[in-house]
Amino acid sequence: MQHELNMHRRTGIAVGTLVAAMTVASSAMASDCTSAGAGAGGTCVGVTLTTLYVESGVTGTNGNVYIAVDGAMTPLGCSLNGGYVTLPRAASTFNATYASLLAVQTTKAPFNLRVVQGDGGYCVVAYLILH
Amino acid sequence: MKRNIFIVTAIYALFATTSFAAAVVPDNAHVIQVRVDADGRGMIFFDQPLGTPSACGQDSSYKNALAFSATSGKAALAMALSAKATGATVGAYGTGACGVYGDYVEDFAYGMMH
Repeated sequence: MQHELNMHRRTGIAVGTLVAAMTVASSAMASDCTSAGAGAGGTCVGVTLTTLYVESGVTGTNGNVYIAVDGAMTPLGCSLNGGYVTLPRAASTFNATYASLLAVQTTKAPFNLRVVQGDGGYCVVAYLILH
Repeated sequence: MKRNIFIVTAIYALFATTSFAAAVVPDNAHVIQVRVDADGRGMIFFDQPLGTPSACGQDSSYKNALAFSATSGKAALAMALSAKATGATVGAYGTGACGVYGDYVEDFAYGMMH
């Protein structure tokens, strides 16, 4: 009887440990992006880059870069372009931001992304914070 | 009547031979080689042949390559180098034209690195 009780206690401890581990693991997962208000873009915290979409800028394309992250981007207070946030080729910070995006894509490091609303209501990259 | 059928057939044939085709590199491809010329233009070679290549990009030596220009291809070059270095999977599309090298390599339109 005492043996069974100990077994149940051990099982309970194991289940509790598993639940705690799952809670910790889920808290480490990427969170969804949040809105800064309608037309004001928003923020994605602790996300990683899933897709880097690069246009060449030759005839028929505009040279923009588009990105997707592992958190849901639909809450952002702006429109996604085909499911992507845009880094416009004409942005004054294009080179530095693109270099940072290549770095986080290469290292799979988490970063914070601030998005604002650009032309046509589309979400555009304002800046990144690398961790 | 026969003449009308001939005209319709001729018009259809004209459209069929001039229909737009552009290369597609599957989304699970890898960059295996990057060529950069002294003038800044270059080519990205994938580990898979291009699907539906344009009529101009049929050279057998470049059936798995897309070209980028020195002026507008810097971002594409950076992506290709990063993908080559990390082994990341990529997908890409051609423009359907061969303006960078002339009539043997199709031009890079856009690509995705995952």
